[in-house]
Amino acid sequence: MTKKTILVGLDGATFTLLDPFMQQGVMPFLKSFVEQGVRADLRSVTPPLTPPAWTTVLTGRSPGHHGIFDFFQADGPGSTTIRLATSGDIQVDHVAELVNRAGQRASVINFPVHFPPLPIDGAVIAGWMPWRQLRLGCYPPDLYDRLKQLPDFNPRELAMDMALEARATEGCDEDEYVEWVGLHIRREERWLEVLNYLSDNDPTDLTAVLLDGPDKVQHLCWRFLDPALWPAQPTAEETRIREASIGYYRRLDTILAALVEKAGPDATVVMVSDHGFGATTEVFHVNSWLEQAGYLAWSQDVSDELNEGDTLGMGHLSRHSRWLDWDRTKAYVSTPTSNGIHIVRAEQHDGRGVAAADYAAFRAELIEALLSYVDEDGKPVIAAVATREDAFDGPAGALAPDLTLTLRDGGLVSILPADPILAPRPQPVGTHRPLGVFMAAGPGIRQGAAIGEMSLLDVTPILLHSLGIQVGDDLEGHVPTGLYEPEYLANRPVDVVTRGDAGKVQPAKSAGQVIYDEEAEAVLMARMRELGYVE
Amino acid sequence: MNTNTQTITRNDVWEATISLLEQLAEDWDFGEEITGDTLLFTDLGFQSLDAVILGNTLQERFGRPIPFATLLTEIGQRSVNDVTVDEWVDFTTLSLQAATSVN
Repeated sequence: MTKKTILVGLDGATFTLLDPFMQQGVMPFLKSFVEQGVRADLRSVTPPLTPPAWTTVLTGRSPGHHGIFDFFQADGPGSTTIRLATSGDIQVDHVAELVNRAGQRASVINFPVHFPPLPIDGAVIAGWMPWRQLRLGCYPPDLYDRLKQLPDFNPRELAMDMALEARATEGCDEDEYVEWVGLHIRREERWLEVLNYLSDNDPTDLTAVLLDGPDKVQHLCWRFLDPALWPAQPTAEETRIREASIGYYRRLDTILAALVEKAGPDATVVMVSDHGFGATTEVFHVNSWLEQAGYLAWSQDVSDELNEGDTLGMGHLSRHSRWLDWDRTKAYVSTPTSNGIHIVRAEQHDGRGVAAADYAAFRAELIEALLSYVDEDGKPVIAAVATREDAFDGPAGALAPDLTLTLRDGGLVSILPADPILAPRPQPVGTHRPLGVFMAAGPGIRQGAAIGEMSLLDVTPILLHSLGIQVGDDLEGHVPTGLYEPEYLANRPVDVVTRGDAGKVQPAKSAGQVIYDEEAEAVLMARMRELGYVE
Repeated sequence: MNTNTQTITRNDVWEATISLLEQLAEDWDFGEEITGDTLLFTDLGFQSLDAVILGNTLQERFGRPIPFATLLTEIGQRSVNDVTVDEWVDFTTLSLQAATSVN
């Protein structure tokens, strides 16, 4: 039996903030929602990062199976060239495809790694799209033109303006914080308008939407939001920013109320975050540490391209491979978003790097050196190091980093050259934590219950069960029995079907096809030089 | 359009690129004519991510990956970090014609 099911993604939401906001009257709707449903801590993936985590939510598979590890993707195993991760990189079935296969419709709105949009029966609007090209992230193809007719439609607010995003993630003046928060209030309002339109004109059995404001606001404004960091004697400016930030959650609460009301009393509503949040207070310059430890060497290009005090923008990332001297580099970090160290394998780099026979010993030596790194007080800086097998076990793991670091403050590394290697931040800022939130209410769901820790892997099985669809045994999570009233679950048991580890019914679009190796790319650029296009 | 098994000409790429850019430009109320000399970043207001999305869309249209990361890397080395529509079309055409299937 089909039951309308809504998944509301709250990027980065954490009970560290939601609990006091519910208690203090900032989020009265959410308080009543939780009282009428179930709540649980929700464990994220390693690393607790937006693209792999939401992909796990929407596939029920871990990163080693679904193949998304970061915002960026290596071009192939061992490649030093990175590109944006796309939906074509996902190696397993999406929950929307499973729903379609059961004869039901789905809409998937504003989630990352959804470009190009999947051609599903329903609707897709890809998240993390530049506003100028939001049209290309919409499916069916006429969807964007229909959305343009909405009274308050504004792609610049709905999607991303990278110049604004960069200001917020790389630092901006405090007088811009309030405007940043305001933008996210307007963005959530725009998404509510889109959802209401789809609900009225193109309803689907499963509706999944991501509201990314909590993550964006918390990264910048964490020290104004976390009760543990709030000063006893705040300045007027600090108070103004805190009130504006709390205003975001106050508005979010009314938007959630509108979403749930629109869904109707018979719908099951599941709210989850992809990871939690906390403070980071220092910056670990991992590539400089690797250099000092003798594993990495910078090229001349790095000093030509970077000025002192530079932060890392999107433009720099595509050129990072030029910063390293590949004849003298054995390990490096290519993105500032995943804390992942790649080991240069000789068999993939014309004999440069670590020989296959030496790999295990080299990796063990590197792990020991990382865990032995201490600050001026003799305290370890790196809390844990996960190997590829630990974090990304599965057929897609070959593209994953060899090692993934967990820093002691939960923060993300910097990949820029710097001295000193470990530096305090001027002020604490927000960063990800492994425990996010799960809240659900609807028919058969227990009321006012807090259940034990769940996993992101459990969300897809819960959605399928709610829709009355069989749950494949290839999914790695399960429907927690504590989620439902026993009698309800007895009448509506979880129907697990054997699929084996089938992966994706349709192979990933990016698999196979055409490969450009370094030589082919060099020839290509030589032709461009001949044409006078490249200096 | 999937021309994986067909010969792709510069005109094919030009028409696909211009058609796409003109459709998108309507969404931003960009009123000027887009020509081969139009600069993606300076004239159309592109950011790096826009170029990535445009490149991915063309890959989908032609059914073959194109190494746009290489082009963006080269653009980053220039004194003026920009690319004209003509350059973009030439790079895409060369990439598609040079590509060899491993299937």
